[in-house]
Amino acid sequence: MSPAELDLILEQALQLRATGVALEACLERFPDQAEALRPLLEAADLAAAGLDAATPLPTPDLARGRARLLAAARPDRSRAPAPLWRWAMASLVAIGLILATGAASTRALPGDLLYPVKRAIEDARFALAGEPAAREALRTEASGLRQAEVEALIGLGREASLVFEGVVEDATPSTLTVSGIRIGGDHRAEVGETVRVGVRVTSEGVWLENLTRIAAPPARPEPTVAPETRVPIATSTLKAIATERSATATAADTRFPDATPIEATRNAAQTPLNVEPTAPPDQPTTLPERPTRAPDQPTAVPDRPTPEPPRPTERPSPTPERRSP
Amino acid sequence: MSGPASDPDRRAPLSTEETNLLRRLRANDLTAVAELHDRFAPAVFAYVYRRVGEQRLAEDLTADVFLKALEALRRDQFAHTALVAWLYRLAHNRVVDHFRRQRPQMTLPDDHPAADDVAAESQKRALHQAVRGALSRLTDDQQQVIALRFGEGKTASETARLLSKTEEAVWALQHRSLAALRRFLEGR
Repeated sequence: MSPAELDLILEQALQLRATGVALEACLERFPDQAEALRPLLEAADLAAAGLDAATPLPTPDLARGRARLLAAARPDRSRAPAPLWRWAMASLVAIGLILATGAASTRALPGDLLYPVKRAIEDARFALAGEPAAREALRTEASGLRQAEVEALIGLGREASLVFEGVVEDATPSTLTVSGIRIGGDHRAEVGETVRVGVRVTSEGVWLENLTRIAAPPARPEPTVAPETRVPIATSTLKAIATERSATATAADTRFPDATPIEATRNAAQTPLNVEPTAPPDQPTTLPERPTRAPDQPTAVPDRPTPEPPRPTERPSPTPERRSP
Repeated sequence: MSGPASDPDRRAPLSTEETNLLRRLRANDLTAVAELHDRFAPAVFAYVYRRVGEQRLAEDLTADVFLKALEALRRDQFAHTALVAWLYRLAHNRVVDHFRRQRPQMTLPDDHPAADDVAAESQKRALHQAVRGALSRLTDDQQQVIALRFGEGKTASETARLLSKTEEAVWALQHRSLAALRRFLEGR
């Protein structure tokens, strides 16, 4: 007999037992399988007895369990999610704050609380700009912003440090122009290089603190900005500074008698691009107290002094680009 | 584990009424929760009581079963079978968990009574303990088929539906279950 046949016969015997047929009478119905069926049917009887199948069930008190269940099912107000309108209100407030902060940050100057926000927004826009043209447009925009910041700082007479990237548009041994900003300080940068500069803006001008090369100039180094299209520090700003300086006859002019001044505009003929140092490296550059004028093209502010970069000995600069003595 | 695994295709289907109840339960409708309890708690209590033999304990375990069901519904962990089959499964799991935390008594005492001689109350309690101890040593499927068929008095067909098995699979399963139960009751 196959196991499946015995399974079926056991089921038939169990059905007989369930209808009240006695064990022995049941086994007589299946004489060939009686020996195999007996222990199984006895086990079934024991199971039914052990599980108290014949005994009527007590009347349960299910009310307690029901109350527990309903208590658990009731929404817990303290854990319930906030209503939709509350989320919407919170989101609107958050968005408003972000927009207000972003808008306010656009006017921030270096040293202001929101200035890092302004720069972070710029960085984010740059990171999100996929197209090279879009990146270039943002670079141009950032250059304009840095220039405006420098002008504003000088105009306010506020000192602040500023870090920005740009292309070296002009360079002499002790000055360079990056993103239209004239910076005083010794350096080794070359025209056309992309650099990151840290500068200190003072009422006297913009001073190089450090410089890092980011990219070499293109194969054919050419000025990235034509001299006639360069945007120097606003003449009006420099005029104001110069007026203030001449009125007070500041000691700054005499503090750095041999430093190269920052000029309002730069004459390409006067300071050609890629110019070699005019003095040997082991000698400090000695320059007149006032900017040298080109014979045929005066500076934009001819009668007023302009800020001068400090001497290395008097104003130590952390720049790694400083020439060895 | 012995016996064929549950076949998802053989799950007892949800009736339209059960589907509606389930939808309301998922929406945390309190009247639906009360309805679930009122409809199925007596059957669950009976199943649990047959297994544990103590009314108060069976009531507590029954309450646990419904709390577990509510939690599962909130997590969308419903087995998509007839509610009664699902609740029997939860009840079985709760009973097994209860016995696991206790030291089961595996064998009949020396003076164990015969199946047809359980009149004395003490002997009856001893038999209950012995059977429940032996049952706890069976596989989950074997325990369930014994509890449903010989505790609840379900037919093979009803048991097959509740366990999501074929009737032939239940015949084979009950055969193996009774053989194993006999062995454990004899202390082997």
